[in-house]
Amino acid sequence: MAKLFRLFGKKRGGRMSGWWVVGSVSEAAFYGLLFILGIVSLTTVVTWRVFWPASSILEIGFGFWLMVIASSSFVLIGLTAFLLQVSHVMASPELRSAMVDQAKRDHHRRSKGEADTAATSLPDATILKDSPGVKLAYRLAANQGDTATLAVSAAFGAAWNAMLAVLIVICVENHLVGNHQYFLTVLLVPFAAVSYFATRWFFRLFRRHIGVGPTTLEISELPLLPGNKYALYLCQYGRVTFEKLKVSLACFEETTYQQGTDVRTERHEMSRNVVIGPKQFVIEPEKPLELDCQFTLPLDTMHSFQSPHNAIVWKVIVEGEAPRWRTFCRSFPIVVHPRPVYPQPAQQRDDVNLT
Amino acid sequence: MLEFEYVVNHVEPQSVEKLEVSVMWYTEGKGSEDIGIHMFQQVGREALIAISLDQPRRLSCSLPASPLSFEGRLLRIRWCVRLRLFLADGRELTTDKPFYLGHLTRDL
Amino acid sequence: MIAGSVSMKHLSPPGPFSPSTERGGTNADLSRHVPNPFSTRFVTPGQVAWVGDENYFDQLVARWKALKGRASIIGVHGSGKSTLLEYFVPLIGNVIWRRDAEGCVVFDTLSDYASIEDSATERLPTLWLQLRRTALPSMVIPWKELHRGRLLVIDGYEQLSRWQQASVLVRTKLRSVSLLVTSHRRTWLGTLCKLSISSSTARQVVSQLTAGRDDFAESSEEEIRGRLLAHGGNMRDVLMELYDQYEDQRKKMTGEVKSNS
Repeated sequence: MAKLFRLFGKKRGGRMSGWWVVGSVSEAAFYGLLFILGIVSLTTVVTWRVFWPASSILEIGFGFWLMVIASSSFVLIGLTAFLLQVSHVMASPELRSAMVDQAKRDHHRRSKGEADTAATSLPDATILKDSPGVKLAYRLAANQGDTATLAVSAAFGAAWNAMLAVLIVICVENHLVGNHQYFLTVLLVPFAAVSYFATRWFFRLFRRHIGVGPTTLEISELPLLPGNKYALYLCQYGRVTFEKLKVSLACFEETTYQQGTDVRTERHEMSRNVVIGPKQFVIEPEKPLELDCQFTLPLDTMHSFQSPHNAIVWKVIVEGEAPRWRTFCRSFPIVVHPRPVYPQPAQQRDDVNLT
Repeated sequence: MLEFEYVVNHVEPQSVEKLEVSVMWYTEGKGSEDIGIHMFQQVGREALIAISLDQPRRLSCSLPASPLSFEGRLLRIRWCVRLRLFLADGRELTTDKPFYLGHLTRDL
Repeated sequence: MIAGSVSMKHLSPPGPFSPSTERGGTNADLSRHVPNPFSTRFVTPGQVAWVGDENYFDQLVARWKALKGRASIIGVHGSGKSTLLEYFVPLIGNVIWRRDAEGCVVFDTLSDYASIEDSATERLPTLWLQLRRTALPSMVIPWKELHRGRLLVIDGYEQLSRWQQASVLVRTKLRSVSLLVTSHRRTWLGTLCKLSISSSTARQVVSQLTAGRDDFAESSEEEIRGRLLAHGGNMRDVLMELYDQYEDQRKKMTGEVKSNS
């Protein structure tokens, strides 16, 4: 019963009190509503003055400008806090700190004019090494695909709801003064339906991210060399029971080709070696899952490769299946370098005719 | 270290504008092709005439650690020595001598 | 024709293996090093020989003249428009500038080409650019080089917006510049030809690519027709599918040889 009332979480040291998922979702909903409230009130104030300047209600003066400032602050605070809440879900605090440090290091590197390694076929591991780990040497950065959808849904939902709020205010004001805009009124129905589905979509994604939580992966060495042994450390936040959690080392061929006026990219998985799992794990918000493991890269491993249209990409992939949450998959790019090549004597002569 | 020699037979030196030798890798497969030149040498007309074309010309270069020769499904990485003859009549004649770099001789 | 030979000898190659000297090398090992006949290098426009009536290009040149040097080639994706350009443009133009789909200028002899030479040639000095969806809006037409007596070739005309298409039409008309474009749909220009790939043509293309290869089972015309239908007449997609089929066959053959050895 107590949990029902704890809509807002509170950080206590390394733990969170309250019901983790409901608290975070409620915070996002609160700030979203604050944003919409600000939009509605600002629209009401501004449109009333614009369309009915002769009206004595909301005359320009101290009260008018107070309303504008208050509404604008609701909009700003609500939107900022909402976006911050979403970004908190997309990245763990350590990752956010590492991203800030990385931005500083990038800026420092550019100012020193360090060599651009994009011209070589071996991907540069320097950027991956920019983020030091807590337990192991380096923290790996996740591919942004998983969080991009959440960001898009948040942006779309906020923008669409803001637009709908403005239209509703205008429609209501028109009805109140006897100017019945029936077309606009009817148009609001499909708009409201889109708003409902967009908001639902966002909160489903948000809840999934909250439930699963950010994934932190650290590795003992970069770049990797074939034949060597490496350690991995996984830290999974959230509040979920995984029926299967698996960590794999996978290699992909990627190729880009032109299809007439279109450009297509194709990917083929060359190999996948399971490092951890699949196993069942239970994760609590106060106690994230921490796993340590080791793996050896086979000697006949092909190294990472990057050219304008072709690539060989290595990734550590964390996948999970949970009954209440859809399957999730997060990938962490790594770089494998080649071992030195030793020549062996052999002779062969071929004659080639030219025409 | 890669050492090789080449000989051009039955071609009049006066008909050759220049000769280019390169040690390079190229990709082949489903995607657009990429190339990387590791070593490049151009021999002009005067140098070609100075030493007869049918005399062996030796070249050597140290090879890099990457990219290794690779046989995949979408992508293959191949190394070769490429000889390109530019003739006075505007034509170009090209020949490749492939070689393997590395030890990846079986599919992953 | 000059005949000659070049021989090259590795004195100390880095790799211990080569197809002919690999100890214990099997047919399967050798087949791994044979290129896929449907690789990009063999199927890009210009690499595949034109399949069709030998008088076709004469008819096209006659039609081009009848349309007074302003025409479009119509066809769906993969119907051979870019391939047709590779064979047709040299008949009507002398390419002096060309930009590929990457946005890179691959050929540029503009500075060597004086205007006074334009009128002396039957084949029009040609500026050729290939448009790609992701390359827009950075497309640049070298308008200052386009004047009377020159030819502009645009591969992928439908990538331009209506406004850009109209601009190209008007500007080339005002400057008396000939214009040849490829498009998926009809344009305001006269139609030089409308391309579509028949199953027999497609089969000939596939046979051409796999000529002399005993490691790929020849496809019947029925099979090719089915593939063409499935891909909406897009020969390029058919070739990409055949690429995958070849790789599957090779993998299977390699697996069979390994299990037998």
